[in-house]
Amino acid sequence: MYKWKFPATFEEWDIISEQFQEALEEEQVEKSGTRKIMMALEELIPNIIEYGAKERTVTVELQLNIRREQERRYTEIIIEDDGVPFNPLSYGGNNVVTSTNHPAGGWGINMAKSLLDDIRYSYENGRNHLYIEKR
Amino acid sequence: MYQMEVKKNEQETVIYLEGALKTSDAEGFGHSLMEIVQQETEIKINMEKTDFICSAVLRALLAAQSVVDASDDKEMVLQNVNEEIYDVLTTTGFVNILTVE
Repeated sequence: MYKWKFPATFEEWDIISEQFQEALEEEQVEKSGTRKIMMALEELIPNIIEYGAKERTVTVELQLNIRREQERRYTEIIIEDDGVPFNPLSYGGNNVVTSTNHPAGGWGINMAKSLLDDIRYSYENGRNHLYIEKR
Repeated sequence: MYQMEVKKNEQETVIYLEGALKTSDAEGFGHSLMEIVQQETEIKINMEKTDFICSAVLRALLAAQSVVDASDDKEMVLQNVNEEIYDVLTTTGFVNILTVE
């Protein structure tokens, strides 16, 4: 299991995301899966930085675990933060771009949902908790 | 970390994007792209070495496409997009707005 704990800033996330990608490669997660996970995280973590940590200092805890069951491998990721309660899954809906004038917003979470096999949100003990799974 | 290289010849301007385009890169990328789109007519964005992108970069591409659409002689084409990025362009509907080869 890999664990990171970092302040919710873009400077820190840029460093951690490199380390996270290296960990996926170390665990031999296939290239396509790695790209999908990284694209999803690139939506979810910036959400915390931009919204959850807007007016206060927030700490993010990130966990990566590769679970093996028989021949199959599951990549499990947990993202926790102590920012304002924010359920990203309540955004996005079915926001599909139809023109260049289309209002921005919601694409990121749609992207994340489409790239992952399972994503669940809960708010427990003052912390936002996201469980992510990629098969 | 991404790298952007621009090569220009008589017919077209090709933007080569290498690496991952993250949220923190989107603003800088958007400014550079907009500058090119405003000045040039035939623009190719070669994404052969692009690992992944984010929704903030999609917003930058959409803004650039609106400049292209407002002109009679401009064209912007995304080339050599990997399967994962193409899937994202499809999910978000961008594949119907942008020209993807």
